[in-house]
Amino acid sequence: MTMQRGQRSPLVVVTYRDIYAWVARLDKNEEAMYERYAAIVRLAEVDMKAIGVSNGGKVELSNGVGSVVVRVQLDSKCPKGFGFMPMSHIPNQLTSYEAGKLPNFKWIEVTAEAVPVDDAE
Amino acid sequence: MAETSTTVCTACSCLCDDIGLRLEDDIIRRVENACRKGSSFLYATQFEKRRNRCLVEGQEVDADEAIERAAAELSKARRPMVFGLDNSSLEAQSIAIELARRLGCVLDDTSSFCQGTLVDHVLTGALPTCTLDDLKLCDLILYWGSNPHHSHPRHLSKFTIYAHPEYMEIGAVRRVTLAAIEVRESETAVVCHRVYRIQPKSDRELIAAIDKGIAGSPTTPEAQKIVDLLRKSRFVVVFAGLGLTYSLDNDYGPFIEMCQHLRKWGKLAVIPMVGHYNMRGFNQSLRKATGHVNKVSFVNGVSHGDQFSFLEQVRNRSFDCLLVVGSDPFSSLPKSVAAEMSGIPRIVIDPYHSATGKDATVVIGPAVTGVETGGTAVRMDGTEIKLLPLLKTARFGDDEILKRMMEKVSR
Repeated sequence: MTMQRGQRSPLVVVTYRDIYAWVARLDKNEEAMYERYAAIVRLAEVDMKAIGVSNGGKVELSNGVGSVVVRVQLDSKCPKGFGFMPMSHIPNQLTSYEAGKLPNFKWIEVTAEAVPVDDAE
Repeated sequence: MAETSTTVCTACSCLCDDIGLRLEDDIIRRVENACRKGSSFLYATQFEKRRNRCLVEGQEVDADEAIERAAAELSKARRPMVFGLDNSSLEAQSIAIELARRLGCVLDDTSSFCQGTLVDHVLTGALPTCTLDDLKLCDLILYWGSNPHHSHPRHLSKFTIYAHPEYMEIGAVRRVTLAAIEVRESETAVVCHRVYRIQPKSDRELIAAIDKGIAGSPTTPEAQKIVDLLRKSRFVVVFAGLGLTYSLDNDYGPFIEMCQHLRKWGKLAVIPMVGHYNMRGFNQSLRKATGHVNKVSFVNGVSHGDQFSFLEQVRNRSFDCLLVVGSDPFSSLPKSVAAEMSGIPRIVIDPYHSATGKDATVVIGPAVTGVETGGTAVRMDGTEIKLLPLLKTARFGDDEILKRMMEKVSR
């Protein structure tokens, strides 16, 4: 079954350190696990509904810098309008930096859109 | 029969010194006491497919040839730059500082977009600090914008709450309190006695509200709860993480003022939750050599400024050859960094494969410091720790590589 693309919703992505993504880059034969741990975004239920994606579904996060497709994890404590992602090269497809400022690792403005199942697979 | 020997883990700036390694024929068979991060780090030294060999333009060469070519690239560059070194020993850092001085180039590390400013405030005395050993005297441990469960996994068990002599699982009176100021429900927040959830990038507002409460003025209910907790504490230790640094965009002025005001109620100390095992060591070494913790230029004597940060140097394509030691900026920074460095020769010294090392002009795979080669490092609290390598290797340490490189550089 093909899910239709959902509504485009603005979101602010905030990155955080994730030990499982970190160690997956070092563990033997665990390269594939890296994507599994790193390519996720944690969202509030209200945002998941707005985007039209369910827990475990995929969303495309995009902005003027780039875009990534990541898996959604329900986070009941995530504030509305925000998404939490492990720090890795994946959110760095969306990050940028301005002169005299730190990179926007903790405030990445994106548009989120549900990815139809067929596109995601 | 295999014996267990004790070593220091260099996976993070905790530098845990009670790691047991059971070796058989120089192969790690068992790791004791290490966290998930540390054990992966230690075992990874043995996965040859993850380790860098010495390469010049993709062709495998011996270490001497790679060093020779690296020195030639640095010598012919008009504006070389040296970056990284937070995963190197104090000894290697010291040689790298001298190499940068001899090259007359810009030198920076990851602390310029990490905890360097905060470490600088601690080193100058603008913020009071203490050692992790002093924590036994504190009665409030406050993690602010940090989640040690993932960044420094043994922090709570080896150094803070669970190691505190007054800590009790249950009891009518709690003598030491664990608290967190966090934007999300992190694993650390879940185990804290007190958690103050804030919106991302609202730390500055919270600090202002706490300051009002300290002054006795009406403030927000959440800030008042924090003020009440701080007022009744005799010795507060704040572990400041990247969440706080990025929320304040490195402007620690309001935080410093708040800390000064808090000291009227009791003792307070701030310890930066630096990530790389010897980032603080680099900051201290460079400060001792130049008066600055990072972002230094040796072009005309010693100068310092934001224009010498790695990111500004990349944006302006200010260098024509980059020496990267133990860092992977192509992976850990915005993707534009790699694009902006297109065509610029890179020399990468890193024990492991990395995005930055891929297609580099020269790659040199050194011994892993702390595991295969020794030296000294500085723990997050400023304590020097002697590293105790247990594995033998034919690879040079990065101190030896940098030393040989410096001998061959003609400037």
